[in-house]
Amino acid sequence: MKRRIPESVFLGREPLSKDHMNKVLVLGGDRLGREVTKRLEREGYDVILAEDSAECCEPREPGRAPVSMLSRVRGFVGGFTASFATPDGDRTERVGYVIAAQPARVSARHSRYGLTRTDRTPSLSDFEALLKTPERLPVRRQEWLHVAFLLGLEQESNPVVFSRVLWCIENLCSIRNTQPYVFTRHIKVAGAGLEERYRNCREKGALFFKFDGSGPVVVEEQDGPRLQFVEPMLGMEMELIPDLLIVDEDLEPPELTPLLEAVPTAILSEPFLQPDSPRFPGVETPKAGILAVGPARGVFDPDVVASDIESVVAALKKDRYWLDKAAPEVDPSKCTLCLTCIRLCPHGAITFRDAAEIDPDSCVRCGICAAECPMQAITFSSAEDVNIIEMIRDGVACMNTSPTIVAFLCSRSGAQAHEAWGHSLSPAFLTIVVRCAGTVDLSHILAAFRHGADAVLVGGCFRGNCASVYGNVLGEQRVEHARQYLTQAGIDASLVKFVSLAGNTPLRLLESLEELYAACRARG
Amino acid sequence: MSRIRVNDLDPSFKHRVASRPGGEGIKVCFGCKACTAACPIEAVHKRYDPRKIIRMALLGMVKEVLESDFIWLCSSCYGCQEVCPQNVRFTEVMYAIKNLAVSEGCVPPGLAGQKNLLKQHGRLYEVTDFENEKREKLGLPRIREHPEDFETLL
Repeated sequence: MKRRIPESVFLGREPLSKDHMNKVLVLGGDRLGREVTKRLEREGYDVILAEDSAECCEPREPGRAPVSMLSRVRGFVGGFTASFATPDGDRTERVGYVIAAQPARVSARHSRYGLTRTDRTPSLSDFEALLKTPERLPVRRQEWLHVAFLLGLEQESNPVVFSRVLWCIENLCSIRNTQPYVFTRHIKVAGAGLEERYRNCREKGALFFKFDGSGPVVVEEQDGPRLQFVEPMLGMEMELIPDLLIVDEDLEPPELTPLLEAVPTAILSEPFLQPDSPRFPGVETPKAGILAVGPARGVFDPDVVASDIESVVAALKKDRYWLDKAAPEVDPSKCTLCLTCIRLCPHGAITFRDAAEIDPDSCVRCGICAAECPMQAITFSSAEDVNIIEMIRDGVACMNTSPTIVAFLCSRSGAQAHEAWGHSLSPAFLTIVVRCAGTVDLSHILAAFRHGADAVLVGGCFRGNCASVYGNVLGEQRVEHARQYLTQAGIDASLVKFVSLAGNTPLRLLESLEELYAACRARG
Repeated sequence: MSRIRVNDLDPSFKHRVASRPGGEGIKVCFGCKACTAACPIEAVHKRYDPRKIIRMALLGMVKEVLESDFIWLCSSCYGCQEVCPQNVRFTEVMYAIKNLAVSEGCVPPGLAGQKNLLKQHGRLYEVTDFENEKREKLGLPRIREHPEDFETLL
C-alpha cells in the first residue's frame, strides 16, 4: 500500500468536543473484532464495528464502515473523527475511542522454499481448514499417508505457529495410517503447555527432524515435491516424497496506516501501534483513546488475545490518576504557532487553532511541551512548574548541609529507586519527584544552583522504558545542555549528571549521588 | 551411498516395538544423546550407538535394525536408562527389539550356538568329570545335566 504523508501534525482544527465518550469504533475483520464488540456492548458502549463485509459472517449494517476504507482518524479521546473513503464518497463517524482489532496478515512461505501453493503443498491455514473436514484428506486404505511440515527453516518460527502444527498432528494422529514428519530448525516449546503436547505428539508417532545446518532441499518432480536431506541424527542421505507438504506462514500485524498516523510516536514502533516497552504492556498506545488488540500490537497467541479483550474494558474504564492535576496551559499571547509542542508531544495530545491547545484527557502531564516550548508559552500554571522552583528554594534553604545536592527523580524510576532506600539517603540530598525526566528543563537545573545547590542529578528511566516514549532522552539532552552552560560559565560540568534508573537499581542511584558528593567535596 | 527412501520404510515399526513389553518408551525419545554419552559399549564400538538405534527404529528402518549385529552388543548395564531425561528405558527397549528380531527370525550365529548348548547340556557349557571331581574335593555334590528341562522351557 502506498504510504501517505502523515498528517498527524495537523490533527488540529478539530473542536475539542467530548460528546462521544460512550461511542467506540472497533476495527475488525474476524472473530476478534466481533468478540471485542460484543464485550463492549455488554458494558453499555455504543459500538460501531468496521469490517469488510466479504470477510464477515454476519454483516452488521453492511457497507457502513468497511475497515479497509478507513482513511484517517483525527481528534482526541472522546471526540475522534474517523473518515472512510467509500465508493459512494467520504463517510465520517464521530467516536470516543478507536480500537484496532483486525486479524493478522498471514502470508505463506512457499516462495522461501521455492514451492507453489497447490492442493499437495497447502499452507498451514489451508491445512487447518482441511482438517476440519478430515474426510477430504487423501487417505488410502492400505498405504501410509505421509504428511510433512516445513516449519521455521528459512526464518525462525515461534511457539504460536508450533502450537498450530501440534494441533494438526494431534488431529492427524486420530486418523489411521497417517505419518506426520516435521522438518524444522528449533522446536519452539516456550508456550503454555507446549512441552507436554510436543511429547504427546512424539508418543503418537510424529517424527521431528531438527536441522542445525542446511535443511532439506525441496525438489519439484512430476510426481510431486521431494524432500532430500541428510538425516540429522544418523548422517544418512534420505529422501521423502510426502503426500502432503504443509508450508508454514509469516504472521504480520494488520494494515494500520491511518492509526499509525494518528498515534504520533508510532513512527518509532511501526508496524505496531505500541512502543516495545514495559510501560505499554497492555492494549494502550501512547495516545489516549486509541487501543491495539492482538495482532495490531504484535500478539498472535490466542490465549493472550483473549485476555486483551478484558484489557480493553479495563483501559476504557481506567481511572487516569493524573487527571487530578491540571494540564499545562498555553498562553495564547506568547504562542507563535511554531508547532514544536505538537511535534514533540509523545501522546498526540496537542492541537492548534489560534494557539496550541492541549487536550486535558489525552495529556499525561509529562511536561515535555512545557520544557520544550521555545517561547515559554506553556506552563503548569496552577501547580507543577512554580512548585518545582519553590520546592528547590524552600528545600535547599532548610538544608544546612554542605555540600547540597538536588536530585530530580522521575516518578516511575528514580523515585522508586529512592523509595527502595526507604527515603533514607543522606540529608545532603534534596529529592524532587517529577512526572517524567522530560519535565526537567534548563531553568529547573539553573534554579537549583541559584538557590544554593552544589550539584544536580537528574534520574530518569532507562532507554526504551519511558512512559512518554522519549521523555528520558529529552531530559538527558537538557542535562548535556546545562553542562555546556556551566562550562561556559567556568563551572565544573561534572556537577550536573543524568543517570538512568529503575525501581530495581537503588545502588545505581546511591553510587551516582556519592560520585557527585565526592566531586563537590573535591571542589571544596 | 544411495539415498534411503523414507517412503519405503515402515512407519508401523515404532508402534510394534512400543507394543512389546519394555519397548513402551521408545517413541518419546527427543534425541538428546545422553544415552550414547553414558554407553560403555559405544565408547569402544562406535557402531553401537543407542541414539542412532532409536532413531533408526523410529524411522522404520526395520531390516537395518533387526538384521544388524550391533543390537546384540548391548551389555545391559542400564547406564542409558539411568540418564534418560524422557524415561525411554532404553535397555528395556533393547530387549524388546532383540525379542522382535528373534521372533522375526533374525538370530545371530552366536545366539543360535548358545541355544544349541542349552539344548544339549541344559546350560551354556558342558559339565564334565573335570568339574565334578573338583566339586567332590570341596565336598560338593556332583552336577547332572538335565537338558530335557530346558527343552520344556524353550
